[in-house]
Amino acid sequence: MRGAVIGCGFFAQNHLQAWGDVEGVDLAAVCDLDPAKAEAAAALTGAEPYTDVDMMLADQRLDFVDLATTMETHEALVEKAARAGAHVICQKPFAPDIAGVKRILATAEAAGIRIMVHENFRFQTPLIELKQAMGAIGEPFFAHIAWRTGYDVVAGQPYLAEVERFIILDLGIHVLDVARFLLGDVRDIYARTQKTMPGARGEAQATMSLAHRSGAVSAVTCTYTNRIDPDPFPQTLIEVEGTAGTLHLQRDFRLELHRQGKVEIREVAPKVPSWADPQWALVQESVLNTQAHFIDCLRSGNEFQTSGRDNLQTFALVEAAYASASSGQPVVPEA
Amino acid sequence: MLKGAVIGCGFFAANHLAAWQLLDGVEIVAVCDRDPAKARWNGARSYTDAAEMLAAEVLDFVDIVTTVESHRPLVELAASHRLPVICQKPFALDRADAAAMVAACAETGVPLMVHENFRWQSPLMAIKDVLAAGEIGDPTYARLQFRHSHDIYTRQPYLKTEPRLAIQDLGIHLLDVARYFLGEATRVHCRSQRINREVRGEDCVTIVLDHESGAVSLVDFSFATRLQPDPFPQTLVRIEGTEGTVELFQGYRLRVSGPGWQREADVEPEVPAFGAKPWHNIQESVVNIQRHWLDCLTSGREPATSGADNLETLDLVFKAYESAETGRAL
Repeated sequence: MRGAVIGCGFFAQNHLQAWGDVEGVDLAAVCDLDPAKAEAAAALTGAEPYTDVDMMLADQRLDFVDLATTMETHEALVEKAARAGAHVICQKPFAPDIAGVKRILATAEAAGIRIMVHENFRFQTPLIELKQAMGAIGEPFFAHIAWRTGYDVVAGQPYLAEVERFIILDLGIHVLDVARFLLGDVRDIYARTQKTMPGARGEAQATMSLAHRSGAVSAVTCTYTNRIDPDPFPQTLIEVEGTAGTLHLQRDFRLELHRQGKVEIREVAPKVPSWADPQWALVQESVLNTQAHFIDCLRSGNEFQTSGRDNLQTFALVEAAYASASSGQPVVPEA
Repeated sequence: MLKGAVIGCGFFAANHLAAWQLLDGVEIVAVCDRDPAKARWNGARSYTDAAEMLAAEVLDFVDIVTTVESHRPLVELAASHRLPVICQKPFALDRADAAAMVAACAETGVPLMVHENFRWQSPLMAIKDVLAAGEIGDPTYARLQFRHSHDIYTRQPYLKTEPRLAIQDLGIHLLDVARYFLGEATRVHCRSQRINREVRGEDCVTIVLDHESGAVSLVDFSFATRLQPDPFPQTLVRIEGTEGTVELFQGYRLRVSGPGWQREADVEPEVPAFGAKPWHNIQESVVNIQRHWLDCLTSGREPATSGADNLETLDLVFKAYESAETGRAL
């Protein structure tokens, strides 16, 4: 399959590396407005560099494009990919607001291209293992999902200091998706936000309480301003409680299964890609898993786990979280 | 020597009586229980009627260890005898009763303390010390959790049939601890669930609080959580501040850290002479709060968990129930 990566910035480096590890993929082209970034990506991957998307799409016959740009550009780029008949894997956040998400989906559906959101958290090995282990704990009734760090995210992505919607849209979107992955769709969400990062315009801390349709409740929390040592970045720590047992995903990929008066402990560390940085291995492996899933589904015709349609539900939760934070009341997500 | 009387000699009162015996400067001269078989304590005179006891005895205070329905008549009875009074939690089932008890004691000028003992647990006091010393800066977030499946029903069978269970029985303590650590709450949102089908009330609860300071806390507790070893009766805590984080883990391990620094301490409470694990954490807090009461009686200071203070904790309990019922934050 011939593909192209559009957007060769900070996080796209992981995409570029990962495509090299997905079997049967020929990364034919890379594109960035900044010629230096496009050249560097070409040097890394052997793909043809472009600074103009239209020129690239005219030149290349592509099966898919991988959008690793910021969310404001997604709608226009999906339109271009749709015209070129290329399937799309699109970075999160899918769009700045839910209306934009719906327009993107309509464009893709009208053109008959398939679209998956690069929602990679649920493709992390520890989360895949946790989800599989849930069969042993009976009916799940509670989860606590925490992503708390003091890692300086603004240093790598300075635009984050300027955005009005900060952590829920940037990171909360992942942990809200994880909550859906583990406990299913959500009836209503209550959210509190706090502007805890000096110099950042938006909220850097959020505390959310979700009522799932199943009757389960989850507490989903995230922060970029936790001062702690050692810092667990970029790990999501999770407790899931069921009527027959409890699962704890602890620091350093330790999965505990508490059941029938005993505890079983397993290590569920990510399989580190050769190009990974140890601190980022968890995320980088999930990028590879996400991209491999995209290609598998393109080949098999199976539905993407994080299809554009599915991601609409996660996006609706993000919108509902912001609405709740501002009204001070729980909000029903509306996709 | 201060002379006290205990009213209500059931399951938990054994801790009160043993703690009074351990403390200096106090003597329990009379005990009262409707059940004559229970109304017994080392050398104390026995009564089955509280009014009769208060009429007959010369006392410095009474310690009410009955269930909530009897609190108002007993507190008012004590106030009418101008007796300082300690009352077990939950103090009252509604705000009117609670306010009436506070007013009755205020009118006669006698101290009233609610036996809200969690904040007297030494591991929690150690956290308060960390906050007070400014070690973690200004708190912005806390999680207080109490999740277990220890059998609380066999020795307190009335819990099974209470329409209001976990918030009133246990959540009340955690809400008080949230106030103790982060100050008054301005907004409460609560979800309650019934997991164990053999009990009538809620046994799994998730509460989010806004505090006046701007901090947010998550207060969650469950009587249906399967963990091995079971952490009962430990409250686990995490508080994050602008400079660092304090965590209290299972096994009474306290950890304080920030970028590039950390320290750990074992803050397991001592086992009181009358006590036993795993109850020592609670038993020690009973000794501590009763010692505080004696200090307050002697010095004339207001108890930390006075009736007036406890109105705020109770208000959070009532609002939590109302929030869970209506689905609204209050």
